[in-house]
Amino acid sequence: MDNKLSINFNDEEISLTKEDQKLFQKLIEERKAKLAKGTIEDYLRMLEKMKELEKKEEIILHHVHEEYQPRLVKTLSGRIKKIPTVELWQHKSCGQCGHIPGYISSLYWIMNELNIPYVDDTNQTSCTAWNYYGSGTSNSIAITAVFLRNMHVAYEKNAYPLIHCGTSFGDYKECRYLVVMSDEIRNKVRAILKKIDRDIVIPEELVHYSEWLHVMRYEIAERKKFNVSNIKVAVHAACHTYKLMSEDYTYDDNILNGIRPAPTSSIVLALGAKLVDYSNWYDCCGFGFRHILTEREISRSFAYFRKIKPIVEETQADVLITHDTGCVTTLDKSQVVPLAHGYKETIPVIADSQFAALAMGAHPFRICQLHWHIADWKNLLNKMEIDWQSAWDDYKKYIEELKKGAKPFLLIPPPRKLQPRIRDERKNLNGEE
Amino acid sequence: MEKNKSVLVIGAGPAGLQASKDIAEFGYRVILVEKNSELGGAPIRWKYHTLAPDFVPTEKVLGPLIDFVKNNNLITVYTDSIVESYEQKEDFFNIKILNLKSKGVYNEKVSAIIVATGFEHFNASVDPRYGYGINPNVIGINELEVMISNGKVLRHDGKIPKRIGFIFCVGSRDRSTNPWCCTVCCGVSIKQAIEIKKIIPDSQIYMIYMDIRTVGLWEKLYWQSMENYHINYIRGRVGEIYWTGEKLLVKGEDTLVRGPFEALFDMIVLAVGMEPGEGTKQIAKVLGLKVNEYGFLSPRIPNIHYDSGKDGIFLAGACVAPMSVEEAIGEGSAAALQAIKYSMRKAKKMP
Amino acid sequence: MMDYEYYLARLNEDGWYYGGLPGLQWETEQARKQNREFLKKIVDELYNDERFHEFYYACINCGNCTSVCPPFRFVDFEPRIVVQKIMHAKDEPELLYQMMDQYIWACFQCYSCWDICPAHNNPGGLVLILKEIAVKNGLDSSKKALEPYSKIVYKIMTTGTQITPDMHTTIALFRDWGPHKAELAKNIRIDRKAVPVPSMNGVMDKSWKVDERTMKELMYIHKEAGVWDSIKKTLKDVVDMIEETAKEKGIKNG
Repeated sequence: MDNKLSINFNDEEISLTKEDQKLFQKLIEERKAKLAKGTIEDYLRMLEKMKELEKKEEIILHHVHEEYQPRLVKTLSGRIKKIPTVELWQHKSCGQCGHIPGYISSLYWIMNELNIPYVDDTNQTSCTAWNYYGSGTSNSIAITAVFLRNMHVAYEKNAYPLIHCGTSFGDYKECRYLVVMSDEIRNKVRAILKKIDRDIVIPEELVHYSEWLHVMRYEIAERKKFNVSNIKVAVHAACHTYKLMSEDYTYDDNILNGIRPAPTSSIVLALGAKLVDYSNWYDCCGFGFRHILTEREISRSFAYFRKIKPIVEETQADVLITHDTGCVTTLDKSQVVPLAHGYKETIPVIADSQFAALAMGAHPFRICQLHWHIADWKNLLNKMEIDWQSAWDDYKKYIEELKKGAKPFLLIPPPRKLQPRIRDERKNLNGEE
Repeated sequence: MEKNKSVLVIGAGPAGLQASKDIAEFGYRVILVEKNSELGGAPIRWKYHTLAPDFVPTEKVLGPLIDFVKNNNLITVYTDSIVESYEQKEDFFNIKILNLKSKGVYNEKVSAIIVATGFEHFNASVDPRYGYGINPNVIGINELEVMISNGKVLRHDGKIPKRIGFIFCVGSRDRSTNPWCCTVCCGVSIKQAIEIKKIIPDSQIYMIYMDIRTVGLWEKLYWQSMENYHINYIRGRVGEIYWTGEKLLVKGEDTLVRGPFEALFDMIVLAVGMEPGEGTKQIAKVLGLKVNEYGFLSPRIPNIHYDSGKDGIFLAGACVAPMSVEEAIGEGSAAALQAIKYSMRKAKKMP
Repeated sequence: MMDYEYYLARLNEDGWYYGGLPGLQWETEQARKQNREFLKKIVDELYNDERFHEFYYACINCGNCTSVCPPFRFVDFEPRIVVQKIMHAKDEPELLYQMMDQYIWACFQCYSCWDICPAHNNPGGLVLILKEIAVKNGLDSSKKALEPYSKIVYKIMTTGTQITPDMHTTIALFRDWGPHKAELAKNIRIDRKAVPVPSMNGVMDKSWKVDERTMKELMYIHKEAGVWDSIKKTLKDVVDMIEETAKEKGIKNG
């Protein structure tokens, strides 16, 4: 084991002893924590105010009570955050369900394997960040009302919202901040919600699904069927999870020394794969929202030149894992055009839930739905010793059966222990009985 | 009147006043020589309204010093006077003091000398870019302080100015005029901008700067000015100012945002820097003190201000380098202690 | 006294002449031609927004934000300039308008700038407010930027979902994502039947099956919160279609 870290800089050998390395890392840690201190203080103030509003009975808080079997994690400021592990209300992501179905089906499959009850609701809208952030075609009242409408549904079903998309997570953090701190916004939103027969319910904790994977990683690793210790994994963390309100995402002192967000990196480590580091870790993926659909040259260029190419050149990783719809989309779909231009670097891009499910032995196509991804994943599956060819033949057979009218295989959630809250007969939208 | 227990203090600015107070409280006699009629130095001469960064009224800081000096028996004050000559004897100095008005000459014997002759504001008519002295409504920060003390900031025609620009580094950081930095002008200008905003709430104030050097605890002025008082900042320089008959046409470059620009201003305030005054030049000649390339008094070692290199002569305050009032007061106290130590050593003939 | 008519003539109504940095010539000219009252209206809308005081503080031109900004690497966009021009907008409304054309639409809304600013400014958030203002006032720039986006706006405001499978049935829309996309487009209907998630299985026109009532609630929220009104000027056709759909589903106006 090396006691020194040697760097060749300008033809000069520079060495750092282990003590120096620890000292530098400690200094960087402290500095990073202080950097975001102001927004942390604002956020903690908001949480205080939220509790006050509950005491004054102005709002209802959806608590992470014991029946959700919460586990504890730490955030950037050292605040303890409760992550519910059972009875989850799946807040789906529109882009994810639209064209990366493997992302969500892998997550459901994992929950089924671990016997975790959840609710797959059809009474859910997306967060509408495509309006708000993507194009300026919404406003703070509408986006907050949409947020609270979804949270109210979860409260009624007595299931805790688990947010799939990184952007929804960041968006809801901002909405919660605005609705708690601004009386004006809160009153206007309440007026609208009352008209659709709902009221303000704010979740006590906003939980991203990658944090759920983080707290459940050991159970997932126990059920591992394939050896991934020879797989080099690069991780990309979505901007909206940890930069949009830097407080309130999981940081762990044992994962990457608590300097970078812990989820996704933690599950890679728990599964035993090799986590590799690269220079542009903190860079955005280039999604840009509107840009990935209507100004693709810039998204593509950014994703390829600032992320894909450096990752492949520096680490030769086998797979790039991320935890947000937009990131999977951008990084996966931006590789073909550069290849057509003669560049050589390419890497498969999948979500952390898909990687974990593959390691646990899920079917690459029936469950992980890899055929919806563009960048070539064949090398990865070969290295993991997954026989994708026979899996593909099996999938083709399944498709033929479906064409003939067979019933599709569905992932049914395990039975719930908690009961939904009963409500009175509801009026329809126009206030009539 | 022991000649061994008398100290000559030249200059009654913050440094000189504090030195006099400390020496008198110790029990020694002080001969305080001041060129002007009033005590207090630049802050009183130019009627500084408040001191940065906390807007402390000038009287609160200098008032007690001036009162002490005027009322103390051990301090003899010569106003309207300069030191005409000195002669070093074995354990004392022979001093000749000339009163500029009455032309009377007075002799004194002292054991140590403190030079605290302070500074003078740069005369901006030397710099042709701004038309100071030709264009109306181009004033210096010293003249602005007088206006603020009177509570009224007005143009030459008596109207209230709407758009006011501060130009930093006039007579500073400029090889054509003075190459050094005056350390306090940034903070003082921002302080004045805030005070103008309080007097004229709907004015538009622009600070046209090269760098913002609000050091140490003065930094809060910079942030406060933007957040609480909506003062605008343009990083760049102004090359020419013309008088159109009604307003000032200012030509400059904003190196960060706008690029080259021209704009009409009602009033321009020049942050005129500190330079060695006539008093400093004169006393350097009389006492044979070394002067550095900039004209400031040069201590034996540049980082130790009080040590002039000449036996028994100590330096304090802005005659050595540009500094703030608080620093000058500190230096006056330091020089006082050095002077007393020197006198005591000389009296007991200790090494 | 010399005659400065030439110089005075090129000053705008606020008494400023911007020489025009090479990259901003066109924006500067467009901003000059605008009606002054309109410029001031935009500045007021920005300053009176309820989020403005959370997002805007002092700016010391440190450049931290620009250093981490993704679009800055490829186009002429700097979050630092955004905050600086907003800072001076009250006294020079034309400066703000210079950004309202193409400049603000480059922002990715990634919020790396908010994370790193030493003064806790949120340039991304300020750009967002400006985008909303551009849309609300029907500026040409927002029409141009959002025209290819109208189908998406319609989809999300009526069904609450987006990038739905029925958008992938033609290969044209996403062909630059790869030749593999053509394969997917051919088989997408049957592949959707093979998705094992109950709420998504076989659903083509939405990302997942959305209840009727849910869609109605969403449209109602948008109507009441004024979203339909605020995007009318920019995306009139889309709003007309949304109103049609809402009427069909039984949401009354008023």
